[in-house]
Amino acid sequence: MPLAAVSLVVVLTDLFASDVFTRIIVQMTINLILVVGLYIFVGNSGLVSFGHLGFVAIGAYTTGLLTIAPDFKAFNLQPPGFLERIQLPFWQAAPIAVAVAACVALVVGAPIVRLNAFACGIALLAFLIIVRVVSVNWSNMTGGLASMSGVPTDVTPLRALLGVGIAMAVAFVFQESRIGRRLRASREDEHAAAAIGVHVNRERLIAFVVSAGVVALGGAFFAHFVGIFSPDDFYLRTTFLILAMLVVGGRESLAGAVVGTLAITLVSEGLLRLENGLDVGGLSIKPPSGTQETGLGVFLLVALVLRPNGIMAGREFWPRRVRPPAQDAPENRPAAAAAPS
Amino acid sequence: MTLADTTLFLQDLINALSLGGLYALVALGVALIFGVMGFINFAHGELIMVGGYVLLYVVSQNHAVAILATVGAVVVAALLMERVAFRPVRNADPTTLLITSFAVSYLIQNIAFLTVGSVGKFVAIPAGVSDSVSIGGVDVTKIAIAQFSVTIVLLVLLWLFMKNTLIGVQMRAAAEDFGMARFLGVPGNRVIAYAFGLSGLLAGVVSVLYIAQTTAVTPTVGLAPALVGFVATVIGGMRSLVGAVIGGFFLGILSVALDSYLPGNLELYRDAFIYGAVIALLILRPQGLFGGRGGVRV
Repeated sequence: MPLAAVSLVVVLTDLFASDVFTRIIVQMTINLILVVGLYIFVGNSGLVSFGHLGFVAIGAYTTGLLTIAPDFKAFNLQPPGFLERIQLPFWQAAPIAVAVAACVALVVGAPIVRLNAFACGIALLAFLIIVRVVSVNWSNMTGGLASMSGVPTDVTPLRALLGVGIAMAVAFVFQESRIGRRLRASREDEHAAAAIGVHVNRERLIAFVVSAGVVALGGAFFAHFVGIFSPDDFYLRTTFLILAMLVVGGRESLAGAVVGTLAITLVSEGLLRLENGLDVGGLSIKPPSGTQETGLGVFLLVALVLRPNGIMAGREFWPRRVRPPAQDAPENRPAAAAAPS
Repeated sequence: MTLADTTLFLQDLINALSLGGLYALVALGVALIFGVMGFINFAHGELIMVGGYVLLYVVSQNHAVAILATVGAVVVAALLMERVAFRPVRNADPTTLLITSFAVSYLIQNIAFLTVGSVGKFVAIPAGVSDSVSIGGVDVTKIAIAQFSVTIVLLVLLWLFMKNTLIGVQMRAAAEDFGMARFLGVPGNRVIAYAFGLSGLLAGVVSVLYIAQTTAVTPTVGLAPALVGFVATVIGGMRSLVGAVIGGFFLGILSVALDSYLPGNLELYRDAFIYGAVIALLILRPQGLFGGRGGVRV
């Protein structure tokens, strides 16, 4: 259903396409991939991550390195020989980027998911800072602060929709799987879950790796959407925006991720229009620049105060499936009923 | 070691203790609020920033007036922040609180962009503050000495406050178990207001010391010291004030040591080494240096 809604919007966009509108939709679609990816870890595990933009960066830079034209690469970056010569189409580069991010997540995540909620959040923040320091200084691979440019800009609304489709399918399958259910049990009560045999750390690590892979896919789309980007695109401001989308929508359901992304995009684009000037009955109002971000901050605070669990507060668009009691559960066994009390 | 080496080492040591002191003050400000509220206040850096802008306007006044005005303004900002943003969500879960503070930080930063602009402003710190003095052949800046001594004085005062005053004891009780402390008659609102006030006081002092060295203020000036403060608090063990101080000194000493001993081509990656060390430390001691037992009673 959310997918249907998004497809409708995308189809409408293709029909009534104006460039600005297309840009907003594609931007939102890519943000949705990131929010859904973040949700896979944050929503199911109950931990918080300030480090996922690090994986977005890994996805974007890896894809960029693989798809920029060799001549351009030789001129702007100086990657080692084989990386300079290689040029892949997007659909081959993106899976490689996802795999790279997932491998990094496996190595980084293995120790970090053992930490408690706060230490985990801060350790992931430390990871984000490390990714930033490396991407700023490793300039023959990333272009450093001077940005990576020349990435083919071939993301159409339809392709972005395909990306969201993949992200949401992964998120849905994950949350309905045994792993996802066990992980959500540990979110409600870590110790009770561990007591009934859930390997909390293992499930967390799986969610972390899957989630890093999905946000890296978002990073690949981002790279091919904007064509030029720098380490600043993957730092605290974006972290804030993506986290805000998830929290405003409600971080404990997939529907929350979608609603939050829509709500924040609406508010922030609305404020941006306002900032660019508004004519009300011949009266021209032009608020100072910075109004957009300030308004967004106020919106987020008000949303948090009024609905601390987000707009959806854990609900989905569809009713949660509750499995009927298993046939061989003790109370259904005739032997149990017949047993002497 | 030759004499020159010794001198260099002593200089590094003084710089490390001075920087560590600054980080310790930030970490303490973060830890005080974590103790009673149970979340990391991401907006702590914005308190430092607010102090910076106040200092910009009062710096031409008499030193004492300028410092008092800056610290006072930051205390008021901290109290306002608690009243407006954090009190309504006080009973929400820690993650929501954490993200609320993230939102507060974003909002204050953007209000600053909106009102004073993103261009850095030069703060006319009186000449002489950054002068060096030579003590037995070791050159030290006056501000480094001031920073270290102010840290020590504040730490001692805070220690006495927490040990000997009623509100200090109540704050420690609230940090142990907020719900139980309230049952036993500790006034919750007052304790939280004091925690924010003290945190603001520390942030105000940090802005004076920090801006005196950077001599420029931008809407994001508080970010760097605050990030270090959060990390120091976590490696110190979250609820432990002593731990926060040790965590701050640890990071200060590590920064200066890496600056001195990293080979030239790796110097740019200094922060990656620092935060890598932080992750390693957290993995070895997930509960932090002073976090007590690792286990949780259920």
